[in-house]
Amino acid sequence: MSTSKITIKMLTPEEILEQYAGIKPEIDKALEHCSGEWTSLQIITSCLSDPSNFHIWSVYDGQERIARASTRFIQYSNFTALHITTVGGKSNGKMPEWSEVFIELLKEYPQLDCIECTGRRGLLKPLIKAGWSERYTTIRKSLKEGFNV
Amino acid sequence: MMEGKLLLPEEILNRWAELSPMLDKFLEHTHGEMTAFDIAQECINLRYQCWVVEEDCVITCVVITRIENYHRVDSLHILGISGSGMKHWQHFHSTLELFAKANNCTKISQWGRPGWARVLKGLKGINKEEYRVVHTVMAMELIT
Repeated sequence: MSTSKITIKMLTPEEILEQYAGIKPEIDKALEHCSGEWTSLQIITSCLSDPSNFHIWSVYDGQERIARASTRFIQYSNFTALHITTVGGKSNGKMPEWSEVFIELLKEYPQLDCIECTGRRGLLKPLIKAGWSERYTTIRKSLKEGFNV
Repeated sequence: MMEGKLLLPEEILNRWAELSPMLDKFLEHTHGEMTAFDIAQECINLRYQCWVVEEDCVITCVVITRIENYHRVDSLHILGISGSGMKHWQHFHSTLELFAKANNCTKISQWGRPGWARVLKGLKGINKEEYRVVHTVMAMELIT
């Protein structure tokens, strides 16, 4: 594992527009593991049209950009969460450091009560190590013929 | 072949590198009301329309419009036009007219530099309508 430092930066809407051609395939790749809830276009246009609620982040290990994530605020009845919609790239084995850096950044948003992520089981181990807790298992049953997500 | 069309949000994103400098060009003649990014945001939110005229897949003209809903009439307002060789693409105006009518607009309006009155003079609508100067826009810059 390299000793370089993890940094995370939120892209401005202007940067998202300028860098669309590069961002879209990265989100598409992350969405390969999803069930069709979103398309990359829907995520990106949400970030552009409602930037206070939808965001795209770049993760750097030293000078190298290693990952891209998209998030949104979710206002539940009793608390507000930052929901990680997609994350793609490589972690360089530094997921606990990502988590620490990100949580530090989120102090800028005092309205947030927690951060959450729905993802593959592979994320569990490094995130639990970083102090996260498993809260749900999502199970789904299609109610329509041909709807198979 | 020269074609005029309305861009979908995805096309605006895909073609932003071409569109951005063209929008900046007409924004040079405005007074800081908006940036090219603001226009993109409005178009992606479907509040403005971004029209382009293309020749061999190259954008030769960009027109930004929005529908103004007044109390008694609706108008398709042209916020800006960028491009050269207007006489080669002015036939595209009929596309704007049809869009305006499909959206219950009874007029097309534009604010611009005084030179536009000369440029638009003689441009005929589908039913031989013509542009005429109906207002002078005045502004006072306030010291705040």
